[in-house]
Amino acid sequence: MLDEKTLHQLLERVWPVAESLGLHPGHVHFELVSSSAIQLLASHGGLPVRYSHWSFGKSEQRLKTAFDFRLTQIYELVINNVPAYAFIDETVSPAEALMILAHVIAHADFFRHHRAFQHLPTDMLARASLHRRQMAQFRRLYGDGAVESLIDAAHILADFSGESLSETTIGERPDDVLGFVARYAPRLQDWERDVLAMVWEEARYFWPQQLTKVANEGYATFFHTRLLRKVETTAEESWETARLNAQIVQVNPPQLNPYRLGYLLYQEAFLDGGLDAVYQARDVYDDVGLIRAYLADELMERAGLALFREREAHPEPRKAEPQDIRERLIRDLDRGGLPRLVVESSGPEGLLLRHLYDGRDLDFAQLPFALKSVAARIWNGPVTVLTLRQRVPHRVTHDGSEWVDQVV
Amino acid sequence: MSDNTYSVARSLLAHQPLFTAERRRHQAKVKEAIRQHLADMVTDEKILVTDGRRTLSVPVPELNEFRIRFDPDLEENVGHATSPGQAGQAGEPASDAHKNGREGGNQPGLDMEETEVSLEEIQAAVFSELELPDLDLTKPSPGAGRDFDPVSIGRHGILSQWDRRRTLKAALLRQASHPDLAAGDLQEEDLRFRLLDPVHDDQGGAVVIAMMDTSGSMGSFEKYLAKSFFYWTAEFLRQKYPHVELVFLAHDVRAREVDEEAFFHRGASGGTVSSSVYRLGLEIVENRYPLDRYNIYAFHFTDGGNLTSDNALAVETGTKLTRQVTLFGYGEIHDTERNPSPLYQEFQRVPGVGVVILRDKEDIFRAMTHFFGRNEAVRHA
Repeated sequence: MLDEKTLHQLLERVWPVAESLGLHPGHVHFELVSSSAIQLLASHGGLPVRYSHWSFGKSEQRLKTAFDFRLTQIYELVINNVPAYAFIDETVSPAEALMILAHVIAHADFFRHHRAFQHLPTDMLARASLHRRQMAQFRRLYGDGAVESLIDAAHILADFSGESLSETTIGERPDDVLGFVARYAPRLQDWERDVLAMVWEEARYFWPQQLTKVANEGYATFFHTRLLRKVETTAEESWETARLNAQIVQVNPPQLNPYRLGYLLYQEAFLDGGLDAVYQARDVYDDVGLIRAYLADELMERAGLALFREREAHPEPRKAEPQDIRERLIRDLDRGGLPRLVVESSGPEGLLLRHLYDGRDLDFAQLPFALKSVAARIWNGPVTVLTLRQRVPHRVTHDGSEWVDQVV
Repeated sequence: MSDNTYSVARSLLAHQPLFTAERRRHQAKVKEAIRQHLADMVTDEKILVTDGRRTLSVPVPELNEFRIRFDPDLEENVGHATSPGQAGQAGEPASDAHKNGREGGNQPGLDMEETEVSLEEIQAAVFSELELPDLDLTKPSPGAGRDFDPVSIGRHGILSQWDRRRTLKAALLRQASHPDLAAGDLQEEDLRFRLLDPVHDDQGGAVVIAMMDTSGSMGSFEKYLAKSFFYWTAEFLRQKYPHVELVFLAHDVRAREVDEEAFFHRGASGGTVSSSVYRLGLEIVENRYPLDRYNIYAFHFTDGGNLTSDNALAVETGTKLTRQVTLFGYGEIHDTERNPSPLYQEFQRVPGVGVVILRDKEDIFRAMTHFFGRNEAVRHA
């Protein structure tokens, strides 16, 4: 088991090398924690302290089950905050820790430099903790049921809290559906608007992370590889780190491995214009931008990308033109794989949302339940979505008690 | 983490009671969902052949967090096919494909999550609501009564059961074995409490008479429903009232007393004469279970196809039986929409008879709550 002294020694080996390469991760607080503690810290979607909701209990149970059966191991958890908090599993070997530290330093550097993270609050941990206390207060004042059902409904709209990566004001833009209802839903009380605003703020905090999964993991993988080449290592350490690295970038069809894809893309940037190009790519590109800039046909072949139908029991890769695959990949990652929804209008006849159709249908099995929750708990009136299904225009409405699906 | 340094993780995890509350709330929601599907589950055919130890996968739709998403069935996604150099070859589907928590087992559009529930959990949930109605606890026979006897002594307990004499004795013994200790010093380890263990006493004697129509007109559906009802009733009694006696009667034109094995696995043939089984029930009550010593419950399940010439006699003996027992339950099983039989209509008018019509599997649970449910106002309708 790793102790703090060893961690310190490892850090002294890797940190100066990172700085010499031009990484500026800022103040990072490193801490060793037990496997079960790191899994608890990770169970709330990336912020260890959040308002209480049963869905976090559900995700914690899932993580715990996966952990108990040794399906996953969380090696590290970096929290985007100032200072950045990095929690590291104390059961890893010193050699593995060396690589994990290099990985973590790159993550912290990414958070500090990427344009999408610049406007975020630097004290998010404290803010989330404040939210937790406020929600607890609301529970005491207005009852568990009222708060829980409101959060249930707010989580549905949290995916639609604004597409922009820049700073936005709540409810200003049409694509900010959650912000819009928080401000303009006609029959909400002030505390209910406060609840929605808190969910909105945390959704905005996570939004840049959702759009930079490939970029962030790829960047960290690119740099831990580079750093370990510069750090003096023994033969055993080289062997162990190489093994862990291979585990991280291994191919596991039919899934997309963001570590592997991201690594290849930054590698391409590096071949293109050296470290300067890598830093530039880090500063401006989200996943889609990075792919547009660096995923050439030849690289696609090397990365072994193919099309799969994920729902099949044994998905077979389907051969397709590189151009085709690239477009699909961009579509998968654009907006974090979520549909685009904008507020069209609102008034006495209810809230009207438009789904900006791109050829992909909405899941009509879930849609009625989702709309019902929003209509009944947030809008207190009919909520309508204009969409297409199999290229036929549909107008679907839920008013809290009845579901209407019209072809228009 | 050594204890003398400040730890962010420790201070964050100081909120762990909160995590526990979330986990508990999630589990409570699972339970809630299970309860709402009890009617489906207690009639699951698989349960009837269970060995009592099986765990079941139970669909729990309420737990799904519904979202506005793309339809996952229509789309192709980009993924890694193979390692470079082997382009175009299909990779072996990885055994740990659900590493990301993604499982492909669900059918499209079903929106269900499966949760594992043991048979005991289901039973506990079902039976917690049920009890023998109008139980007279003064009937002196082994049965449903319960008393508490102080049979053992423990180190922990409630204050009202504190045994001062034994506590003092323990303190003295301890002090005697350590002469250097000050006398009269009472330690926590000296405390002794009386522990009350529940014992069954000879009170609230009860017997349940299960009567089932096994005539030829009872089709497989009718038999399945009747057997299911008696299976769950027997399970319920064994769990909550282990000393209650069960009597199994099967009848076609004649009635016989059978053992449990035969009762549940009997074939069916012959016509239906319900009065025969009521008469047998009456005889058994009169000969073996005196009224001053037993609470008697009788249940009869049939398809209602009683021989027309027997109807008057059946109503007469049935009414006679009703006067002898605490509750007489009459269940009629209809596989198609039809009017209740004359027998049903007659019994409906007799006070003390609980009547119920079963049309599908869900009604088994309804019938059980009808007869055994707490505060069931319509029981004696």
